[in-house]
Amino acid sequence: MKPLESQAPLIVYLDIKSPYAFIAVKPTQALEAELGMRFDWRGLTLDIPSYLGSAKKSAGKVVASNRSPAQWLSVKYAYKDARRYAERQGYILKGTEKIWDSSLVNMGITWVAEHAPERLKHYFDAVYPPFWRRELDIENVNVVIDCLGTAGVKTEGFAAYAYGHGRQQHDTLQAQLHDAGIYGVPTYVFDDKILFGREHLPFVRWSLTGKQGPPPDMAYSL
Amino acid sequence: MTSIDIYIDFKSPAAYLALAPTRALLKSTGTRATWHPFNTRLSTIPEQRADENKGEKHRRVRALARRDVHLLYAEVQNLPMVFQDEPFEAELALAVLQSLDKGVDAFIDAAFKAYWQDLQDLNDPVVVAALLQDLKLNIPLPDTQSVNQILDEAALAAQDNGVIEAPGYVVAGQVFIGREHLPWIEELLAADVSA
Repeated sequence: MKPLESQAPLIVYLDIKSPYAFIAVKPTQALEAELGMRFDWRGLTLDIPSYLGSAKKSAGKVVASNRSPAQWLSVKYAYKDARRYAERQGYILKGTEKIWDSSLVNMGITWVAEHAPERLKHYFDAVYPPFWRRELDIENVNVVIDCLGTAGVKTEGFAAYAYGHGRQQHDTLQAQLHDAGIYGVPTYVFDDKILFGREHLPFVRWSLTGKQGPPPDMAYSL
Repeated sequence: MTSIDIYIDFKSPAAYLALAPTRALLKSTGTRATWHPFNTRLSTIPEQRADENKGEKHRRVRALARRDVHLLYAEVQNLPMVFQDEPFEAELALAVLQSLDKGVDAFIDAAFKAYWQDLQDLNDPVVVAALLQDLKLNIPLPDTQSVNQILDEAALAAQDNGVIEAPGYVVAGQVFIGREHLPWIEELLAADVSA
């Protein structure tokens, strides 16, 4: 799998532990349905501590952190912002207690895309809302397998995949992303464009529908 | 008439690109804006190094991508925009903005154009004085100490309002960073009008 190559008209990179990716799913799925296309959904496991510092909370209080004041302000605003849009979409979004290793659950995206792409919406429904309600241990392979089952996707072989070929494929792709110009989620890849953030969906839509009329500016959908 | 507080920095590419759509929104909703200076951190693109770590690589790739996105939307808006290799600061012009009681809109337009189209140093007293003279705005330029004091006080006030970047919008008790929020801001302004 190459970071910028796909048979689909659009590659969508997501990470289950990203609040911004969470609230991008619905409008991106809506675009996919509206255009009658099948997008190439992929997992991107963010290494958050490498660029935004790290922190651990317990009972709502920060118990360990190496973040600067500016990084904290940025993180707090990001969560507050994501939460209000999530609420508009009918979701609950609670701040996480730690920075999760989301690689297993992100490998689940690839697994579903390979075995039952038509069930991706159900997989996202099975993982995203409960994770952001703090009800899902996404580092537990059995929990991910349960989510696959809930989504109606075959579960047999996933554990072996997650610790074998899937892990290798995941790690190989991750290692190429920065060099390809991809650094966050959600990221949309199409034509020669790499755009980070759901605010670009109006431009993505305009591009995928033949670039009719003047191009739109960036905007979040409500 | 509804009102909104808007925080800008002349050296912020996002603030520059937000100006026209924000002005359009203010006009269509009949909203009065109070413009505030917000001195952002000067953003440059780090040089690629052979020994860069993952965080440094992330920041470099992100900076490059952000510049490209700004240029993409400048093209979308048909707006001239040039990134300088060694960008200037803009503190003096920001301090002047805080001090103006008339001609604010014209000064904002002129300062953004000077920075992003004419590549002028908005920290240079000669440049800023010329902008003011062209607009027939007669105010004395603050000295360096006053500039620092004005911007420090503005930063504290912005922080109290929850603003962390430019362009920042404070409306109906909510803070929004970035023009991508204009649809929600429009909704809030419309609700305020109908209330």
